[in-house]
Amino acid sequence: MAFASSGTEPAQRCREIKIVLLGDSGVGKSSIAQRYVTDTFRPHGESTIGASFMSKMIVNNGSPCKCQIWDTAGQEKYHSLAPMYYRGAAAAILVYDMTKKSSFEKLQKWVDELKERGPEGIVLCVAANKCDLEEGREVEVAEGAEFAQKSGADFFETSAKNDENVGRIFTTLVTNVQRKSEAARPAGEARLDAAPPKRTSCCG
Amino acid sequence: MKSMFKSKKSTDTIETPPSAKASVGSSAWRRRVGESARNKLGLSRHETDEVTGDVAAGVSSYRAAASKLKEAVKALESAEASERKADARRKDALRALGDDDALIEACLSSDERTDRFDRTEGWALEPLRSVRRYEALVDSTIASRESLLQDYFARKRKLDSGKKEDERQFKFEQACRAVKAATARLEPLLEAFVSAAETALRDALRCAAAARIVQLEDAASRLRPWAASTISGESESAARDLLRDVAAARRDGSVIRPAAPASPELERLAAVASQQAEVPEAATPPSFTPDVVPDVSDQEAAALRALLRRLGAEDALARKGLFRIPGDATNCAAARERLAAGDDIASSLDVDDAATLAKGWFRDRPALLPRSVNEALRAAAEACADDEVFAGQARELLDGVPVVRDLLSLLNAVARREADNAMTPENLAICWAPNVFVLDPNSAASVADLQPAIRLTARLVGVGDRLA
Repeated sequence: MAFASSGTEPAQRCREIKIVLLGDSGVGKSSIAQRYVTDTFRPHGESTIGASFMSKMIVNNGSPCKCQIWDTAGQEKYHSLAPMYYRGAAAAILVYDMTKKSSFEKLQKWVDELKERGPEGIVLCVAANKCDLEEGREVEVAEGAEFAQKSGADFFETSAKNDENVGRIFTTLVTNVQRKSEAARPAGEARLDAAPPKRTSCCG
Repeated sequence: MKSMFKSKKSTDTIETPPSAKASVGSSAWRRRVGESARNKLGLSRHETDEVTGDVAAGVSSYRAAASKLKEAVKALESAEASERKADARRKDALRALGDDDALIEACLSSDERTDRFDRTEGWALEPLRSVRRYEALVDSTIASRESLLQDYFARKRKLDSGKKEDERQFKFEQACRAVKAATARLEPLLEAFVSAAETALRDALRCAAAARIVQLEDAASRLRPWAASTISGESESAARDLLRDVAAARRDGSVIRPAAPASPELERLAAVASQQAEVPEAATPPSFTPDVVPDVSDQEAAALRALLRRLGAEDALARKGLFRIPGDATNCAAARERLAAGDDIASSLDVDDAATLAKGWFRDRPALLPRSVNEALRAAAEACADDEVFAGQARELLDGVPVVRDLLSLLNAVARREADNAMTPENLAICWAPNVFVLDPNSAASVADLQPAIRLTARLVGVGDRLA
């Protein structure tokens, strides 16, 4: 059984996963995306206009997966655009700055909004960014973890600057999304992404 | 002497004489021991033969048992070696397959068997009767191990062929997805191209219209005193015509009279835009909403000035990420009410809170900067490469909206402290343009308008100190 099922899985598992980054302005959403995709860090980078898009191909648990990362702008004026970006997202990373309490308090609004208007079953992860600035800490680990647990999210303290836990956020999200989609698709059921019939050649 | 020797003989054990080198149980040994027994004990040949025969039989059965034990140990060793080999093969196969719970289970159960195997090793070292049992056990272990391996390889072969099939299908799906994705990517690109072209055309038209308005207004203002001095019916009606023209041009910015061309630069831009767009000019007539300059009460203006003063203080200018970092939502909501009520609390506000409140102040008044002024500013920015000239034009255009002038002067001061606050004119523009300088602040179209608005804002921030 186990042999047979693992033999037919890989093609199903590989797919594109849309991940959206949400949170206050200046908490490090773009820095997290940039660290993950290009493994670089730019202090005091420019504000994001509207939203920016990056993608990265990864192999998680043996199955290839393309992460489409939508990095939204944190400026208040751009908040009205957010639904455009989280529509159809499989996962969201809620970022706050652990040296700024108000950015943490704002996350509750994002969670409420996603629950109300976001895609159903969206996988959440809370990232407490800038954990390299321990001396300026305003949000305790326990507070962040408790909030994440209440919101059904994973929790990581991250540092885009020192590359701490950034990769783990994404692999955890991808794993959770994959697990979720496998659980939602019982064996033998027809696939929704319109797989072509077997033994079909492109050139006829 | 002889009798003593004889009596002693009876108690003698039958020993191999030291000179005899023959091994115990051999025929030479039997002969020699037999002779010696016959001589010493006076036994008959028959009797000695019986005794030595028994011993020889015992020895040979002992040897046979020993050699069987050796064989058994050898078999055990080879079983162990094959066990190890099977283990290695199993591990290789596992590695090739990747993790699989069922495989781990299979592995665990075979480990159990290895345990049992270890126990049988103990038995094998016991007397020979255990050897048979042990051998049978080893045989069955090997047999079951082999059958397990056979089963495993059979499954693996099946799996490999399945994989190939899946790979083919996967590649096909990938190709299909790539085509779909390319199509999907192409469509928004096309749309974006068309809309960008349309916007460019509209922008150009508006620029031209704005310039035309400025010209007409200029002419009208020149004509007005003249008309007043020489009260002739003819000139009065000309002045009225001209004023009507101004009103008409305001109402419909798309109408550009060929008789009164805009600047050649603008005309060129319009031509380039229409060529690039390849869209019929009349396809999307720009709709102008009449400018309504909202009344800003003295109290509201005072509240804003207090906020801007707060933000011009040394600690604000040195604040890293000023205007980018949002304030505390709860504090802001409370402070906003108190400001609206006329309380003078601006000077005691937290910098980020004050910055958020200032941005909110402008966001609440989307029509503060008249559209015509905004467009004329854009046209001026386009037309004037020289900052000094642009500053002069902007100063005049912003004459009616002093709050925007005050804001730009503050933003200029902020940008000058970039080394402390990391806010460049561009960075400030990204934060401020959507609040003040987009054309339709409350429509989705403002997204498409962001880039030009940000360019204009950055340019204005750069000359912010020359607008007063």
